[in-house]
Amino acid sequence: MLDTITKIEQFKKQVSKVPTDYKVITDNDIVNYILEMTNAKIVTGDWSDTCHYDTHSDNGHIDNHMDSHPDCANSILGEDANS
Amino acid sequence: MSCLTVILKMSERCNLNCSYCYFFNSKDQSYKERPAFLSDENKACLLEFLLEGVKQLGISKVVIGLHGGEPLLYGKERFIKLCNDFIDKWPKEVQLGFSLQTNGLLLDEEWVGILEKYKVDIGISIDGPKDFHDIYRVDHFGNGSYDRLIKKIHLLHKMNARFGVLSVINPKIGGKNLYTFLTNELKVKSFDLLFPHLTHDELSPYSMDEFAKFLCDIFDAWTLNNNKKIKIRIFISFLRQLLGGSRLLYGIGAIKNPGLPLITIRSDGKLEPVTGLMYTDPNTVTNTTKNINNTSLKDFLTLPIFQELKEAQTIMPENCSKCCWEKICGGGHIIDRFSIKNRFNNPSTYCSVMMDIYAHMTKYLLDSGIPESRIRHSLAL
Repeated sequence: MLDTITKIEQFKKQVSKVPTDYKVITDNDIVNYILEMTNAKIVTGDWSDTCHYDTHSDNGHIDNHMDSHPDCANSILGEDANS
Repeated sequence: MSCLTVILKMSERCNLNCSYCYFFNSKDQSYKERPAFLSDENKACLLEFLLEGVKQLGISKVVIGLHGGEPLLYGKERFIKLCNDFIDKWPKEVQLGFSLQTNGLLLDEEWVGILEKYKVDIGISIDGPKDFHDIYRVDHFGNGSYDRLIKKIHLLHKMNARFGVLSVINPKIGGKNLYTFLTNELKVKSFDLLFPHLTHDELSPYSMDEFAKFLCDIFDAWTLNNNKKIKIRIFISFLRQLLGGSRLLYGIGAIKNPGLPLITIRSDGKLEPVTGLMYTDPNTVTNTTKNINNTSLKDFLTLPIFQELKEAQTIMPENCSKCCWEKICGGGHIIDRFSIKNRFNNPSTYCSVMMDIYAHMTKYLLDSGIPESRIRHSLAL
């Protein structure tokens, strides 16, 4: 418990130190895109890898089902890359 | 769903001689003892090896990363035959995908047509504008490769080919500068940023503050542009984790059940854990006596190194247990955690960079209206 409190303090301290000199966009396409991916089929609200997604998985690009090797092309491509 | 990624070293030679290359210019020089290319005989064994493994382990999807060296040196005719052999003999109930990581220099219209025909995901290696790309990505005479590569990028666009880009981070480029270069100048829609491998047994030529600034700057350039058609894989992976999803990248980010490990098959059929780990300590990490000719996939995966790699990804380094980002960071990239003394039981050499970018992304999510409670939930706080 003590560890968690310490971690929350650390979290708040680190985030509060981030400069706010960038422009905040309220209608945020990138966040919406990530939310769409992440919410597609969340099995639990836990942080674990029990979250699996059915969207985008069959077109060979952003692959929600597997780890991609960082030095490989699979899943670099978004589903609408270069479209 | 059980998935397997195979890194196939179909060519163990390269038409470039990049100074930072872990394959040719690092500790493991074993490519010198191996055939330049995967032979027809080994290709047949490989297919048999994978078919048996898929059946024994109940694998439902296989991605074959066509890698090298430079994989296009393999040649068009052999490449087509390899793809056809796989497709003809592959069971319909198991998904099969190909990806290719290339320096791009050998691409021509015919190659692009072949890659399109076999639905090979194309990844091109570009580090940035000419002055930066040509520092490391040189040929065997020391000449930069940028000018030749740019012609190939134009060819890919002309043929409407879909491709992504991998860039090894050089913080001197500047994050905003790289973003503008890739997205405006080269019209790239999807790319990823690779940290230069850095174990605890060496020193970085750049400071960690420089790396952090680079990443925060390119993240800001991306989010300010606010174009969801531009994909930066590492950021998407991190954001997904901050929002409660799973990672996209092997070895980067926490994971509870890693699933099947990635494997590498060399040109002579020799089996190794995932490529890149040869940068750590080839003698104790990647060198095995196993070959597709003398073992099964199932037996290969029982080697102690796979247990060590699994534990390295699921049991955090001691120093990470007090960090608020532990549950998503997972200690950082597995290669960057290595030291001869402690093996993988270290936080990443890029630990402070990871903390800075996670905090930066979290601030961005909060400013975009994501509740703090959701992010804290992802962090188990």
